[in-house]
Amino acid sequence: MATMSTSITASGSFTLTDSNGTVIFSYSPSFTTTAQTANSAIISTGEILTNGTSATTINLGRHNKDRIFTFIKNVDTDYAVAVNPDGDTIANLKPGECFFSPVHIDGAADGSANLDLVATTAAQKVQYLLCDGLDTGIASDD
Amino acid sequence: MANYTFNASINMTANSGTGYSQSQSGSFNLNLTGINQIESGRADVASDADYGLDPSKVGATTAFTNGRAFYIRNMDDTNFLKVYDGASSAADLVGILEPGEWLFTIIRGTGVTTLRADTATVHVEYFIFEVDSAA
Repeated sequence: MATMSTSITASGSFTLTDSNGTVIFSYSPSFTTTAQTANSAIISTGEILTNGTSATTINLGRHNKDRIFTFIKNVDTDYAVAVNPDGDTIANLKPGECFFSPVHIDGAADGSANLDLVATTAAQKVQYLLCDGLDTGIASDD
Repeated sequence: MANYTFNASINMTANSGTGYSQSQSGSFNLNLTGINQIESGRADVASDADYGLDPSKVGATTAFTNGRAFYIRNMDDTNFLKVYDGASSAADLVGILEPGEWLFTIIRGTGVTTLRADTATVHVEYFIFEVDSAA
């Protein structure tokens, strides 16, 4: 039986500086996951034009909905886009902003299978990269 | 209140065992005007109680009225951490962090951020700050 093995590397750099040039904090986190076959079926990426004010769905039918490494970036110029994995907003991204998290898609006991994007006022372009992660075994209602 | 500049960059690369690889990255700045709620550091988060990064916990007396940006990193060697928008009872998970993993997001509007370990107390690294209405 064929299996698929996936891993991800995520790195970031975050710095807050005050108006005097003093660095308040600076973090540069990075991690690489161990290549895993369990719960691993798909890497998906793309660019999508959201609907206006109604939800636009990225279908996650082949993904492991219990945990998906998720990178989302608003690549448009006008309005914020909300990221809603199960009806609940976990990010509001204005143009140029991006988000990263290992997301539990089917939380809140609703068994969601999709990642919804909701733009404000008008359609916006969004880029995304999704990769299955290892299931932590927590319940769908957590 | 004071003014700040926040600089962020994020890169994610996904690989498969066959050599297939995809990468995406982003960088942006936030110019923050007149905010007074910033917290960063490390803390122990228990498994049997909510650990709130709400304004009262970071020493502020007013709510994050316009929203907040936050970074959470699980520093534990063994156990995972759950990060919620709101109390854990609301079950609105922003992410689940295995040891060493981190997340970053911006959530606009009022609300609190809650951390909760699953099996045993975990040590976390974090920052959270208020975003102003224009940021």
